[in-house]
Amino acid sequence: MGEFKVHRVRFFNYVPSGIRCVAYNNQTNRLAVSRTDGTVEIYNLSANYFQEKFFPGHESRATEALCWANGQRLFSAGLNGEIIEYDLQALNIKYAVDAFGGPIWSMAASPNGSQLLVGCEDGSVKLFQITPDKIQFERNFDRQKSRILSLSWHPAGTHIAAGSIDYISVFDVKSGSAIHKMLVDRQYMGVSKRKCIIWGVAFLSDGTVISVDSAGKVQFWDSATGTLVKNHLIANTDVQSIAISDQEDSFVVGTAEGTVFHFQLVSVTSNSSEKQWVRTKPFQHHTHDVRAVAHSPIALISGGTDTHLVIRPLMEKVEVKNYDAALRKITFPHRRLVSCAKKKQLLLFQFAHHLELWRLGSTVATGTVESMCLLAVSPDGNWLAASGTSAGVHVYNVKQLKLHCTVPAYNFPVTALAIAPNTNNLVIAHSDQQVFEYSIPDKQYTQWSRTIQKQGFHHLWLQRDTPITHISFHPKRPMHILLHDAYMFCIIDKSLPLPNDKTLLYNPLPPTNESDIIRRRTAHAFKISKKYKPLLFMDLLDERTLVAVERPLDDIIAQLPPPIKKKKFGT
Amino acid sequence: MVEEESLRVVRCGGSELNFRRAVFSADSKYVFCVSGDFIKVYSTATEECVHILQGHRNLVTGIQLNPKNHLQLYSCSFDGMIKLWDYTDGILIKTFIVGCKLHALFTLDCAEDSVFVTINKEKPDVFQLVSVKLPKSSSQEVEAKELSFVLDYINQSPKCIAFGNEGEYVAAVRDFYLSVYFFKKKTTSRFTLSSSRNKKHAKNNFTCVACHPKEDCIATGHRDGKIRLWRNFDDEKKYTYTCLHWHHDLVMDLAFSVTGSSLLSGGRESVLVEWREAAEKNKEFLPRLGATIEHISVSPAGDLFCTSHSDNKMIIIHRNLEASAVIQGLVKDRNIFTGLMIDPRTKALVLNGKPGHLQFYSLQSDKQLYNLDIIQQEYINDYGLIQIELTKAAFGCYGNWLATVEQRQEKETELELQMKLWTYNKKTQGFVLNTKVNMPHEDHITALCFCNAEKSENPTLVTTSKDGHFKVWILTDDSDIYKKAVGWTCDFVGSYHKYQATNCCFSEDGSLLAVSFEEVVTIWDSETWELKCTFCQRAGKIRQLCFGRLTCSKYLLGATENGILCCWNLLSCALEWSAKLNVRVMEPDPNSENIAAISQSSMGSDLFVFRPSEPRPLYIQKNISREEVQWGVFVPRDVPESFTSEAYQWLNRSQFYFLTKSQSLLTFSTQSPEEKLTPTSKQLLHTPAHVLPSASFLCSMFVNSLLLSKETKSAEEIPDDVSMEEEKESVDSDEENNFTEEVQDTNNTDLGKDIIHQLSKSEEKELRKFRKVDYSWITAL
Repeated sequence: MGEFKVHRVRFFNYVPSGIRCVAYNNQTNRLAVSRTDGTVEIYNLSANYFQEKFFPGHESRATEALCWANGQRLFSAGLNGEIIEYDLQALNIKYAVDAFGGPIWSMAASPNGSQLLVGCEDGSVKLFQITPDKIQFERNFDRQKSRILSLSWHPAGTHIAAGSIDYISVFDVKSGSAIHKMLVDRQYMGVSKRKCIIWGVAFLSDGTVISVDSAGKVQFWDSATGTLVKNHLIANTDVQSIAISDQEDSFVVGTAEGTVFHFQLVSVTSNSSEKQWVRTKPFQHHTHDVRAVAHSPIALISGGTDTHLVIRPLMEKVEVKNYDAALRKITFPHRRLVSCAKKKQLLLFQFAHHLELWRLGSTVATGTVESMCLLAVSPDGNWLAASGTSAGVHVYNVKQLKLHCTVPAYNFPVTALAIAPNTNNLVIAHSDQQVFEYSIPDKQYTQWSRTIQKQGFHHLWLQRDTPITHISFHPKRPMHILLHDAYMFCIIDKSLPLPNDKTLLYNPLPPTNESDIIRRRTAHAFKISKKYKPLLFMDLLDERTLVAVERPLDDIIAQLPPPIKKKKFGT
Repeated sequence: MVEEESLRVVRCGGSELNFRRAVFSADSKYVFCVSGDFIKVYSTATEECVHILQGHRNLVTGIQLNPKNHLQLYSCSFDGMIKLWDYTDGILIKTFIVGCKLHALFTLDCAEDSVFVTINKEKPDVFQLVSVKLPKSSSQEVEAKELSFVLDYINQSPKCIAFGNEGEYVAAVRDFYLSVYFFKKKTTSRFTLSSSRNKKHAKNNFTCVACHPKEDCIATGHRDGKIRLWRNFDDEKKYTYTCLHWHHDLVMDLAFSVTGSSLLSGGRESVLVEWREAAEKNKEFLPRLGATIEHISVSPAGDLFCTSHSDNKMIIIHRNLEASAVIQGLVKDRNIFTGLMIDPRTKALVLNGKPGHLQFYSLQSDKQLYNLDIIQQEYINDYGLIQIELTKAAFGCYGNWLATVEQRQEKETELELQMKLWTYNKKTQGFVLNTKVNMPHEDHITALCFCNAEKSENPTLVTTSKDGHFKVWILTDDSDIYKKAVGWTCDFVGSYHKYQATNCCFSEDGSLLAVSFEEVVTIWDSETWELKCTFCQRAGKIRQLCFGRLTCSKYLLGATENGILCCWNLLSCALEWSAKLNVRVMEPDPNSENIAAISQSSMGSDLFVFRPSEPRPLYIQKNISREEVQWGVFVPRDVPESFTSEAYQWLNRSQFYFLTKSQSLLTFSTQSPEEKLTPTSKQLLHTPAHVLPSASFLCSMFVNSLLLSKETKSAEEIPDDVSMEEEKESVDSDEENNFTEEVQDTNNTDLGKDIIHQLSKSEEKELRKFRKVDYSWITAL
């Protein structure tokens, strides 16, 4: 494969923001994630958890609440007191409406999707009517003494539960008056803490209200009588989030210690219909506060200050124990944050609110431009390939300024694309880890691409976690395609035979003591290096020089606030 | 006829109380535990042993209350029998013969006439849970051969099997999986923990299991200290579990309270943990229970718990986690360094007990009297820690003084050594520390002995050490203006050619001290500490050394490592005799000239009793134990026996006890020791007066029973079945020790030919039988 001089770049000081809200949309199997810098990301859980849409944030738009309504509409609300609706087609903000109640702490869409409820700093709960192109203020509920931190609708839409400080209120939606006020015990392990903050509430169809609070309790209340039914003390610190499954047989809570607890409704005995809520498994995938949790039918989703989005499938809901049943941890965005000017040896780093340009010291230009839609220009400047959010790739003739052809549509979104010099072959990587090569002049897939589709990719290749974010080519070796994801860098040599499932995909490099014959026998098209990780960007500067931009996880963790100290046994 | 009196080796108490979970009676008044071949019934209020149920011929492996009659108890044993007992009266009701070794017993309320037992299948490590149908029959002994298979490949321990939800299912754990068998559906679900595949973290093996009494919930304990609560286990896909983690070492046992509201767990931390509402944050502790919790049981009434500990102890604990009673047997889970000693005051057996303690154990009542804390430091229970060991102890001056030596050696060069001298305080009736000597020697102390001569005015102690010195310690005035305080100081240091000092011994009158230096024995004058003479036989290092007593006080005996026993005459300063004998234990009888020596060979241990004056042994018993005998001691009898036979006269004034490597305490007896522990008179007194008929009615029967009838067979023709049964049992229990003696002959002895010649003995035997008769006669009423 040849040897390269590598610029190992570690000065890209990228720190992802902590996750603040997570909202799962059952209809489209999409997950909306908002971060503390106001960024909103949308993940397609069906397409291998690919981050398909992205709304850049702004410091003034820190989101505190995020919700889906009517299936396709996404709303967020924040401490600036505005309710924002996002345009998921144009990828911009449709409009912002001020709720006039001070900072907004919570928001919930009604089960039928026609109404939106926000809880404000001044203790008011405001009801908005969702109209096809906007939202309209309807009325205020009885004003409470302190801020409304959490809201939940009864599945029938008749009542709501609102968590405040030290108490939970139950409102009748019709009259807008509070019918119960359930006081939460401030006591924590025998010590009276200053205040008990209700971080989350969930209203079940049988009238049970589940609350999570800052004293580490998960409590079950009967909303008809306003009484406490059961108390689970689960943490020494705050329980910050709760999400319930649609069937109401399981819910998940996240604590400030980074632990996520799963609760399930199980029958008391096999032959009785009596059921009880039981705390089952704890999961410790986070180091910091779990600020948001979501419950999809098959997985528990959690995110928090430590910036990881963790998707943990529920084993009992998984039909086949395949690779999809494995835990996913998404840390880096599925986009390229680094661009490279090869001739000038410049690196451009993209941050949330600024750009940084770095010079590499000492040479051909593919002026690729990144946006949410992927674009690729051929090196001779004749062709432009563009991918929208709807998975199709269009190729335009730049000189004639008209559509040349359209690559046949594929189910999974495109994660990276590039046009090879000389041959003008378009290489497309999809979120399901498939790679296609399409000849633009011939308007069809190349022979190599057909062969690899016939034979199929190696199963280990398909099981990789992160999408391919960048594709480039070797200027002197036309048979080579260079591509990388966050954990590996790969050179595909089209002249070599393809690996089948029996061959070793990750070849043990370099086999110095082995004879050349064995090396040649075991050689296959995919040359993979896992030396650099997590890899944010890798490209060829010239024939012999590579530039690799890494962002070690430890460097990110070092810049996060310290986690809550926990006593560890034996220390 | 002679066999009647022949000696047998018998186990004398001190058997394990912690072998299986204890069982409470329905009213919580009694607690039952298996103890060797017997079942012991203790009162929970007084800690007294109320009954000993004897009848099994091998180790009892399980006991359970009869679910249909709470005044009855089932037991199973390695002898292949299930026995039903009336525990209030201590009577055997029925015996069911199954035929194969039974390892555990379970009963169920709903299972009409069957019980569950664990049996072994061909392979040594493959066990099965089977249900045994107990046939209804009026006869005393019934064959129960109808076995139906329930679960295969289970763990041997009964802790790994639990029945749940009124017998709807049974849960069994082994290695890395939990199997649940549903009786109605006749299906087995099996749940495997992931790390069985991933060897790296393979520490979550299952150790025990318990089922919730009301809900479908199974609690399992694991080697890494976690407790898992399984639910929804009727569905192999939807099952779920919770973890409770407090224990840092393996969970030894689990038990649910009767209502199921709390779960009890225990382990090596010696802390009983109560998990309320099965919540991780809601737990209560009962700490400092002294030793590893091996079993936990809950009374059916719910008011008491019982924990069994590794130091052979049971603690009865109230529902509010307050320990209310302690039943302590002979502590057996440690190495015995001090050997067996007799406290001259209490006549109790003294040896190492709990870590850092000396235990005083009453041989008469099979009960621990008290523990003396010698090391007086908190014991930290963890693997790999090098603990301070109590290595030597000796009583002196009729129990007025106690000397102890403790040592700890972490590295070759870092020896910590401490000698303590304790004085008996009459006011507090206990030992009080008098003198503490740090590093009394430069190296390990090999022996210490007091001068126990009657006329010695000054208490004297001698210690010998590997550093080549022996030191003489005497009691002197401490520097105190009132001259009242006394303390021990070193008076003399002796050595011999830089050899290691290995043993020391005072002559009976205290005038001579013998100290062995490897192969050489030196004799010192105790007045002037002058070396009088030396003996050297070049037959290896001296292992044991002792002076003869009474008429044989002119002899000195030494046993060497090369298997030579030498007897020197102190008057002629010459070797009197020597014999080839690999002596392990040599103990002089304090009340006679006799010396008992136990030799070790590949076949087993043999006992020789001899007098130093002649090399011919008085008594030889071969193969007293298959394993190595480590320690022995003569215990003076309160009431001398009168064995007429010459061979047994050595037992007239003292009894000989010895301890084997597996720490079973054994002795020699012509009758079962249990008979002695519960004499007939005690039985009579224990029977409440209000249940007895009037004295006039009893009187004639009692007197009649004492009369000697002319037919010798009268004893066997007693109409009472129960007494017959009991007699047979006592025969059975004699036999169980697997020793060479055959006692079945007792029944046939009357038919012996030489009955006329041995009339006195047969009479004596008759009398003994009648003693038994009148005892059964009480129970018959």
